[in-house]
Amino acid sequence: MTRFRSPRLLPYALLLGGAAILSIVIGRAEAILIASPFIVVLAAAALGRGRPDLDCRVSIDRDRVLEGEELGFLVEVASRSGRFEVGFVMDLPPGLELIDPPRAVMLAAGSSATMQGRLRCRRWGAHTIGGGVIQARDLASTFLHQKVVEPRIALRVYPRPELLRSYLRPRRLRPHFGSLVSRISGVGLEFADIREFTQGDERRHVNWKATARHRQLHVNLFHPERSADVILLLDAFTDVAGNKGSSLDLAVRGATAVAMECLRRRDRVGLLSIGGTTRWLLPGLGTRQLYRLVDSLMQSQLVLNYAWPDIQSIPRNVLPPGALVIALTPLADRRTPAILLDLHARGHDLAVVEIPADALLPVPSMEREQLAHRLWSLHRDAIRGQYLSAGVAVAVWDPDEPLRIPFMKLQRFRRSSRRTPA
Amino acid sequence: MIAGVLTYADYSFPIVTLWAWFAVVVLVGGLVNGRGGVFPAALAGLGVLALGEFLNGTLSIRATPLIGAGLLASAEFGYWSFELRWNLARSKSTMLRRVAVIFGLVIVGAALSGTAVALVP
Repeated sequence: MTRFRSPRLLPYALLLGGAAILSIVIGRAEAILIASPFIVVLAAAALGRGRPDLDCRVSIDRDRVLEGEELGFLVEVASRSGRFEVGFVMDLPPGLELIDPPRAVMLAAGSSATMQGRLRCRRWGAHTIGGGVIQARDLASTFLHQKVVEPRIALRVYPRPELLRSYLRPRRLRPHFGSLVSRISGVGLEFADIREFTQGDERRHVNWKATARHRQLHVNLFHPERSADVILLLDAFTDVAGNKGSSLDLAVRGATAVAMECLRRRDRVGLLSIGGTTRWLLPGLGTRQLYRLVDSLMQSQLVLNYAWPDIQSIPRNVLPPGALVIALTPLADRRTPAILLDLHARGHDLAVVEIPADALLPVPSMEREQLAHRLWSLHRDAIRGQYLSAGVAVAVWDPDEPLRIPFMKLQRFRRSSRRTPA
Repeated sequence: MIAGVLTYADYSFPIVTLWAWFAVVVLVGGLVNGRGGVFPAALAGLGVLALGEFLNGTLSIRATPLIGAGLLASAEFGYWSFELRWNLARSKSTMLRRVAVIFGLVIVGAALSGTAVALVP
């Protein structure tokens, strides 16, 4: 352990020395007599020079929590020598907040103690915690001994998702069972039409009332329930962070909500994060895929890169033909529209949820800042116009409103723009 | 305490008393604001004023242990208050133990100073 001398020892020693010299110079004992009680602290420091030998182990209640939840942790300390006041100062990564720090305890040689603490997980993310500095002081606090404890505990803080009851209807569906009613006829539950009986029709589909009326066998037709491929595209080129949070935070929260809703209705969901580095997760189904997606989303971070990635660098099976691509972007980087419009031009069904970057930033006060802000807003308006003129639905997600609002706007735009049977 | 002793001793000549109480105000201000430089300066000022009174003959040499112990207690509690401002939380028993240790140091210091006073011819 590293030892530090208390900063008060040197002034005490100087005081004693100065008083002794003054007493000798003036030939009076009062100066040294006033300063003499300070010699006790120096004597305590000389006697308490032993070094502590401590073992420290940090553990946490659980390793997976939801954003906003509290988490308890224990610091177990064992001492092999001396008698010290032992405390633990925990190092926490951004997003975690200490609400109840572990309280220092007295430890004698051969004894152990447990300190309890609590922290609040304010922001989603994958963290490694448990690191910090263990501090030991002697009784008079004349020496401070410190030892660095490395962080070893993996903690995953999952984003608290927005409740999303419905989202976009993809233009093309997969020929697999799901919960989206297809517009074509086939085997399903939703009644579609009546037609004359043909060879191969099932007897249970015969509509007896229509048959009796027309004196000819008629069968019911149904809309089959199908599923879709949905790709969540996360724009990690820029992260606009302000007082109300960051655009990447909102995008991750929104993507989690969409992924949960998609998987609930048995759609295959994949993830494509474009930014300084391009990362992807192949489309899949089920709870395991949800965990994979959320884990992958939590690793989303800003990586600065001036490279101009294009769609060619994305593996073909990441973007299945006809998949609905839902992009969550702050419209702040010029590289994103290039990729998204390329995707649209290649026939992918695209919808853009805009994270309003200007709503996250504080209102500019200076004239020059206001001008820059206006220019930036105009630039983003131009990007938005590019999407709309290409027939891509764009809706702004105000952080203060539920996520279903932009999805309702997107759905309305898509209904009015064109109709393609699935 | 030191300012009180100086007030009692120097009642007829209030300049020292005024300076002593000014030093106390500075000391308390330094503690409240966590100013590590102001606090020891105020303590040193009080010590110098007390020494001046001793040399002037206003205070008896028998009061030196009391003044010294008062300075030590102020210094130790003041330093402890700075320690408490750091991010290490302490349990109640640890706090009481530290108070006991500081009082122990002050009493032993006063006893040491008292013994020295008794030995001075």
